[in-house]
Amino acid sequence: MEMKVVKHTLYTVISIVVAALILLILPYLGISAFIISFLLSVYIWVTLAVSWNILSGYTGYFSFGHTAFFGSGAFASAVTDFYFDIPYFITIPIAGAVTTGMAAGLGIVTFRLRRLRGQLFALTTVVLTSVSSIVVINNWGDGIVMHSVKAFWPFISIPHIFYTLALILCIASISISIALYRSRLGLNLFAIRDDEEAAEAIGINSFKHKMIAFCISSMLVGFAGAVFGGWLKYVWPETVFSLNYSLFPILMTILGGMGTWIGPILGGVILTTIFQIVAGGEAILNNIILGSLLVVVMIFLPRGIFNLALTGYRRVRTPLRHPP
Amino acid sequence: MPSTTAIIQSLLTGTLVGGFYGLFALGLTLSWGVLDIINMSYFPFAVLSAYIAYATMTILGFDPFISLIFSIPSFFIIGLLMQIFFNRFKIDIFRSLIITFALFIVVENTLSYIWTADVRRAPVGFLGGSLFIDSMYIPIGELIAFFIGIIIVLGNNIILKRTKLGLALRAVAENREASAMWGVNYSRIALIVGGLSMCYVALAGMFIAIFYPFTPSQGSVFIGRIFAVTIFGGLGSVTGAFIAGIILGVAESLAAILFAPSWSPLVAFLLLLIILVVKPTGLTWR
Repeated sequence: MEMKVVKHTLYTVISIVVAALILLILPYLGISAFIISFLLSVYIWVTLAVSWNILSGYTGYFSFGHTAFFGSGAFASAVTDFYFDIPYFITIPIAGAVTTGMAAGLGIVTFRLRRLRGQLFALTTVVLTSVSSIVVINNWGDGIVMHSVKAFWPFISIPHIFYTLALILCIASISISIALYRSRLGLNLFAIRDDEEAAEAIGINSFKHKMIAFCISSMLVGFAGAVFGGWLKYVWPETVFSLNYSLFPILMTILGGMGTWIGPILGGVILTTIFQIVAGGEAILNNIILGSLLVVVMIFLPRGIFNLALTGYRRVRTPLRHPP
Repeated sequence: MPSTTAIIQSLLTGTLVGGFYGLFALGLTLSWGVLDIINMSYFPFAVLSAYIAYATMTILGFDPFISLIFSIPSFFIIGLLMQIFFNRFKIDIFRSLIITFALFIVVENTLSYIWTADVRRAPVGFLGGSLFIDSMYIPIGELIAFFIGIIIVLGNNIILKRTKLGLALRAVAENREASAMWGVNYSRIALIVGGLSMCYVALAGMFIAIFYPFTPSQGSVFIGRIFAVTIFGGLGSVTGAFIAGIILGVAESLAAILFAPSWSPLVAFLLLLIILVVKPTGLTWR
């Protein structure tokens, strides 16, 4: 048994590394700029969906705060870049630190609650979104134009730098998500999701675990915001504080399968492809359609594509030994 | 340091604006406290009511209060339909959050599809003016909202305390299963509360058109304040929501003159966090 687990982990690591290497050299094979920018947006969305899943899928605490963290990450990076002349690559960790700080501050208050904890947590994330966007609009409402990124190698162009950054971020968040899923920490998180009182009764420190999950999740979103802002170069409150950054990761994760590590990746790739196909249409109509889609998915497919497929597979085959 | 007159003036304005916050929070506190449904779509629906009032004023040239003739019945029906949907699919509180969040996006985008994202300013006439009494300005629109809020709170309390319907409502809020055993028809109560909450939303939305220049995304400006008021007031407590609204309004307007106005939205958030630390059950619990 022990041997099999080690082997399984090894296979996972090898397949992630191979996939990462293939995607990393992709831009140098003469692929069109359109595909590169499409893949970049896939990486950003998958990062957001995976990070949403780390908190909400694993612990069952619904967060609507992705917009707040994404926008704050982008603005933390832009403000430090523009006003303090800090090189862009150093502003990315600063953005992550800012959003982690916000999450820690919110978590310290809301995760200590004894009653209505899930509902009040969800609401405070909604409130955080609206408040952070209003404060940013009041202070930097016209947006910030960031300094140009200086390429360190002459043969790597600017789009390639951002492609690589987004890819590294995406692979890192997927790896963290898998590692959590397979570890004891993840097991404790699932226990909290299933029955928090029971989990506390058997000695799991639920406050600590929820804080860890929330901080990891929001840090990844902060990084994603900084990368996205740097890619756009012009950070404007209305683009980075769009409520879509809260809505779509939820939709992606639920569509793919909440609480599994592969669900958000599946949902992210599927939905980003759909966005790309319908991108020619009007943004307003797309939002109406996607909002309605979320309602339909919530009612008729609450467990997601992956869980549906898994149930179907189990019906015809013996159970998977290590369901992803 | 601002003068005493300025502070008294901001206390007064804050109280009146707070009455409006309390009015807005009534629908939310009822549906959350009694039905266990957190309905985020109330915010864009309030903006829809503001657009109906705007259309009444600009196209028909009537008083904004006339718009309530259209908006209250239609909102009551929308609330009924939403509640029928929630009952039919047995939506619990977390799914209600996600579904109404999706509805939030749908309604807000439908509004910007119909009316575009331009900022609208309704021609409110005397409602936008102020009474000038003894060196104090009393805004007329806010004053009306405040008194309507008081009337509704008193009316609600009479219904809740004196009638059979109120008794059934309180029973459902306390324990749904037990009340069903004593013969309370939950789905009928749910329909009444769902429709009534939307009526309050329609009323509050009309005042948005009177008080502020607005866009389709105006609803998200209120999310922080109204949720803070709802939690502060205690879920399902109408009186609590109104008092909490006044406290928030006063705190905000004091913060605006003591510090920079651009940071005043943070007041609601800080207030919310303080309540959650000190007294998570709010002012009154049902």
